[in-house]
Amino acid sequence: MPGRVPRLGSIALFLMVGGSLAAFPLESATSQSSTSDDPAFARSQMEIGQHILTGRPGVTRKAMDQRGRVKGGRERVYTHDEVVFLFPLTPKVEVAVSRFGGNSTAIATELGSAARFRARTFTDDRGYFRFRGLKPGRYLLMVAVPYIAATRTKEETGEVRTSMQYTYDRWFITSATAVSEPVYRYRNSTTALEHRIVRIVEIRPDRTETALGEIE
Amino acid sequence: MKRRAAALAVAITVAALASGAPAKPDRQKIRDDLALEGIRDCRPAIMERCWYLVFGKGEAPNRRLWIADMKVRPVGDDDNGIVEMDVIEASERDAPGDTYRNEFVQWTLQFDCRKHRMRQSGGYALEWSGKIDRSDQVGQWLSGYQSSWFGHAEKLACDADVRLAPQAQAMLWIGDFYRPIDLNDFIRRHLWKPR
Repeated sequence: MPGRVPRLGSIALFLMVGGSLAAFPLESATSQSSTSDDPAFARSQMEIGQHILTGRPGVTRKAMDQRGRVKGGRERVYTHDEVVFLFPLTPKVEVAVSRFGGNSTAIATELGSAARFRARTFTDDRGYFRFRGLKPGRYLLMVAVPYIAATRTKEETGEVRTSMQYTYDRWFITSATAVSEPVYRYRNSTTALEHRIVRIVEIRPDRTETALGEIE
Repeated sequence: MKRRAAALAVAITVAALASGAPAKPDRQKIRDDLALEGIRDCRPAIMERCWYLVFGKGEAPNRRLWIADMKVRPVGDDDNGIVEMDVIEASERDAPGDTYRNEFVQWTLQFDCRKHRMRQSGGYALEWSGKIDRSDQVGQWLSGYQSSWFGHAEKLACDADVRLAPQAQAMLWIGDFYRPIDLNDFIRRHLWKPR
């Protein structure tokens, strides 16, 4: 699959670390908020239902070859075995989303009881996820897509280039100034980045399956 | 006079502490949570559930697993020795000719730890057809189940030493999935992955 990022995770790793796979600092979600939390709603929302939610989170980057060099054009990157969270959209979460927008780190500190009553699944080999057994309602979807991107780094060489700048009047040079500036070089490399997706999704009662398709 | 004032101050402090102290069941829960914090995998203070694989049988592709939630709940008066526990029974596939129609069952069981008896207090089954079959009826107390998977679940529910070291009883940490169906999907994906 073009653009697929190899992951080091294994089944053993999943079993060992269990719930600590979170890409978001959910367990530290203890900060106070003026909006009242609703644990009873959160718990009720996550009871077993008969609806399904699917999607394929990804990120678009400059196309790269096997050696990490930019080859022109753009490509989609997906991830597998990445954890996908679905939180009940409590009033507290709704306020956090409207306040922080797409800032997943800030939202994660304001989830309150939704962090405890969350649904969790993993992306498959092709980058798709599927939540089963959902009740109709609104949820907050959060997923991180790690990927490798080509980057160009500006570095100082340690050398300095000096040039003279002259000021003229009609016939003569009236002043001369020596201007020094550092000499830079540019280095092409690859960097590991993470694209975080935060989205409110709605499971409608009249539809058994809600397919989000490609999400970014 | 000074001694009386000091005694009064101590009494006021004790009263203030007592009024803000947790109720008895809460104190017991805090003690239980603190004791279990020593376990590397399950961190009860921040995890809603702690799933351990307690029993399994069959060979691929007809395996069946029982996974119990170590976070038991006291039922009624906490001195009565009765606790409630959720156990997931997952089937690998809908075997032809098998009358067992469920992809997984969430059992909610009550264990009377002193009298070594148990009963079902709720639960639901997800059938292979996708239908959910709920059961809210409380069953009769049963005993003599110790050699079955119920016996393994009872160990985890009733024995604090087993909860402190489940791995010593060959119980395997699975995760802290809040929804049993996510746990079920995880097992299918990572333990029963088709080769």
